[in-house]
Amino acid sequence: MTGQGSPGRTTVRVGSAAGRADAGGAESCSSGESARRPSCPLPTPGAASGGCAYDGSAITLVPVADVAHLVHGPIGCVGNSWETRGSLSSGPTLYRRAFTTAMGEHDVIFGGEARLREAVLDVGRRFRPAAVFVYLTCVPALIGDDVEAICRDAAAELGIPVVPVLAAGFAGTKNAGNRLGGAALLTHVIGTAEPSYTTAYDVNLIGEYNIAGELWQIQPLLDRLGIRVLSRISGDARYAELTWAHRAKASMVVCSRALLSLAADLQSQYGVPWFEGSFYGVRATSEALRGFAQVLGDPELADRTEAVVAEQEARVAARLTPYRQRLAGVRAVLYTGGVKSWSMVAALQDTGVEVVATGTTKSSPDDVTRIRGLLGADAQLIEEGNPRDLLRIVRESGATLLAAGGRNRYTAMKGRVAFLDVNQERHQAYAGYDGVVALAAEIDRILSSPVFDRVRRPPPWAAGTPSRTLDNPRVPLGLEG
Amino acid sequence: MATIVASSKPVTVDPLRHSAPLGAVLAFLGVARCMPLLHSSQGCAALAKVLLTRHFRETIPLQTSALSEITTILGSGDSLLAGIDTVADRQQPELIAVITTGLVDAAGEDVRRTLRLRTAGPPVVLAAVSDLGGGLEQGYCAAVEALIAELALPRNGVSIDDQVTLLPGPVLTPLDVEELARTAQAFGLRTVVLPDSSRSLDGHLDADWDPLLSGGTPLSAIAAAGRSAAVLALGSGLATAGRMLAGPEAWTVPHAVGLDASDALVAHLAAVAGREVPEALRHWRSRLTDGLLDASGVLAGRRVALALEPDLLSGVAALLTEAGCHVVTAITPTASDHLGAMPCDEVVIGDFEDAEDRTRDGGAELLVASSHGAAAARRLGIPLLRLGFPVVDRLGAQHLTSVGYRGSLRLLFAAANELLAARDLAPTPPTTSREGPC
Ligand code: SF4
Repeated sequence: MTGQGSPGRTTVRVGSAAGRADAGGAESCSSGESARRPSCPLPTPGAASGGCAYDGSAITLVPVADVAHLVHGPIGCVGNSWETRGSLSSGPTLYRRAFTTAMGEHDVIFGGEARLREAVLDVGRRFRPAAVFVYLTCVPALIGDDVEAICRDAAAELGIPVVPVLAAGFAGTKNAGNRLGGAALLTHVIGTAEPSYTTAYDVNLIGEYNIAGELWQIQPLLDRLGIRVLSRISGDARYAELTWAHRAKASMVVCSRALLSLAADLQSQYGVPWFEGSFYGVRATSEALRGFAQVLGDPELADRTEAVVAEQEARVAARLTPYRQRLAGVRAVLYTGGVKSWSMVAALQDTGVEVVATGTTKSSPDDVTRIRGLLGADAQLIEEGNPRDLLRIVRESGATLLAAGGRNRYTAMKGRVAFLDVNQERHQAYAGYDGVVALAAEIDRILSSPVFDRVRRPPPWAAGTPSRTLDNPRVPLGLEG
Repeated sequence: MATIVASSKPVTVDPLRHSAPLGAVLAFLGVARCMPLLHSSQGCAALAKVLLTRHFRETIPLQTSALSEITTILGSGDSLLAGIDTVADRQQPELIAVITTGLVDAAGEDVRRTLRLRTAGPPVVLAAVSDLGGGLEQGYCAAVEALIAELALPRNGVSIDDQVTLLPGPVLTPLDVEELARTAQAFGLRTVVLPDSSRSLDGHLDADWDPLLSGGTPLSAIAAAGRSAAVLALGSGLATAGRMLAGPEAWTVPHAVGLDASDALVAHLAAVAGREVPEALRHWRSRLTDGLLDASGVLAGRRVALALEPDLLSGVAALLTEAGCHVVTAITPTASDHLGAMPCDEVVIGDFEDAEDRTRDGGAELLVASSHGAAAARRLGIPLLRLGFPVVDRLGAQHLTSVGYRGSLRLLFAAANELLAARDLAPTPPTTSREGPC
């Protein structure tokens, strides 16, 4: 918000190729390295949570809409995960289809390469994708299928790119998979073609997945500034635009620690400068827009940006005022990891909600510093939140809202607490200035439900409980009277 | 009678099949204070948990031995034992169910040997399954067999006269399981239900949050499962489990969907109990027969396509055929003996791409499938009747019943209503030109 003290405000973090080590640092816990490096904790048997590297690579790459995404592995890998992600496309829908080799015992004994080869050729011929992405999983990695060789041969035969994504599940965490997905693009896709023309304002968005259409909340802002998104990596992307990402004049890494290394590599190999930011919240959005001007080094763009920022902040402030009044005093516990933890804290604060605790799983020391800046030194930071702990923290802090990923929705419901989905499965878009208003409206709507009080009330036949009516039922904005 | 055809594509497109480990997890979630532990890399458990959570809208207890590349190659036994100790300590389960996966299968681990190294802690059962073969049904049934082998007391002549053991199959929803048990109880029979999801996955609000589900078959009931006067299994894959409990006396049918199959279930229970069919059940039968008449106008001659697990496939085909529908295509993920007896020309072992192609070719007006069928139905411009697993884009998956007179009636009306809602009943005016103002 404009005008309010914003302790978390920092200037945009501009990266450098030298920042590569830092960027990769927390995220290199993948194949081979994890066992050797003490900084890469292995998941604890019996107390593990979170997806695998394959899952992470799919999150990063499956949004590419005109590509056939083929999972080489047993049925479980794709069978349990297809149609779970909320990335939208403005055109092709091929990315939504689940292709798999569905390996069987026979493939383990004789190797899965023959089956994979036939599968790639069949998909390439029948579905005519712009490219085929082949995802490695644990079983073929274990038996040593040479996925790269199969992809090379199939590409030659089909005449379209066939890209190996080498992020077998057991190679690391979901974050490691995000990074390996980015690495696959750098190795096999980026730099393989040229755009028909370039402008001084061509940029890449890295780590923006167009969940529920968030890209479409951001793009109009960039249009107004005359900034052209050359490559979307990867929300609503088409294969072709990935191939010329190296011609951008700047990259923005959107809420993704894991993909910082891709940005850093684009800088060191092609000289594309980058910065890191977020589109969640008013302050972050303004920072991000300024970041483009700063990294592109264009004073005239900087002036235009200031004008747009001032106008948008004023407009959004007016729209948020009624929500901020209504949501004042509402306490929320946020549980999401990584960069998103600080940017979501800021976004929730913009709506007037008080964030009393937040998760810091997967957050870097830098993220934690930012969170402390936003929440104050005595903010409660949740390292690892199992459902029981989350409910305890909610109760102890007097929160009435749990904002977290879909897997914790029913934790909240069982604890009779309102829930806001802030992860990839959600159906609401919260990016940019309009996204903050949408977020405020959604919180207002969710909190207006009378059920959380109602279900706490004992039934009338329970001993010693006087019956009472609900106090102050909330009515969402726009529905009063 | 149907011909069984296996789809022969080199690639699976939009899979209908679920992994066997998922089926095993599903079975174990119907056992009281049981903690399922996938012997796998952590992603397998995370993804399965997300899917089960989305379908049941419950927090699902599921852990993993969290294998890394290194532990997979060098030997995963220590990780498994450590995982067992951790969940025994943290969740305090009364039973730990270890479920193997394709990864340990491919690595050639001797899991049974590893488990023999345990000296203390809660009992452990092992479902030795793999996502390299079979599907939901095979995994589920292997889990039930493992429970019986480890925990049921041997049959030694002692039998509890008024007790029946009911083995609900993988496609029964929690409220189907309840319907099955109530039907038996209506005859004055006491029931052992294994597994029993009716109070664990049914979606109910407990006073306090616990990492394990409430409800489920108590271990004491599993122990007594082999001492019943009769064993009834509703699921063709449960024939082995039934035999383990009752030898050749076990009664196994693929389903109890539709008038005929519900009649068979009720008649069998009447014979077991040695009693008349109670009035309440007879009345439900009269509601179903009335419903069949009411729905006949909507359903007679309608062309329907089914993409479901084997037991549900033949159950739904039976009911809709009784109501006058034509099953133009039936797609199922895994083969099963009873499919040949289905009232359609062919049954295809395939995926949703096969389902979409054949639904289009057959001119079907309704598709019955899980939420994964929604995209195909949308492309085809026909309604989808959601049934099976997973149903994630509608509320109340637990309540999608099909078993017995009551469940059949619900399903019948749901199918007819989908067609009623989709059909534009207004006649289209002819396009011939006419004189003067319209
Ligand atoms: S951990 Fe391995 S086997 Fe399991 S889902 Fe991930 S890639 Fe597949």
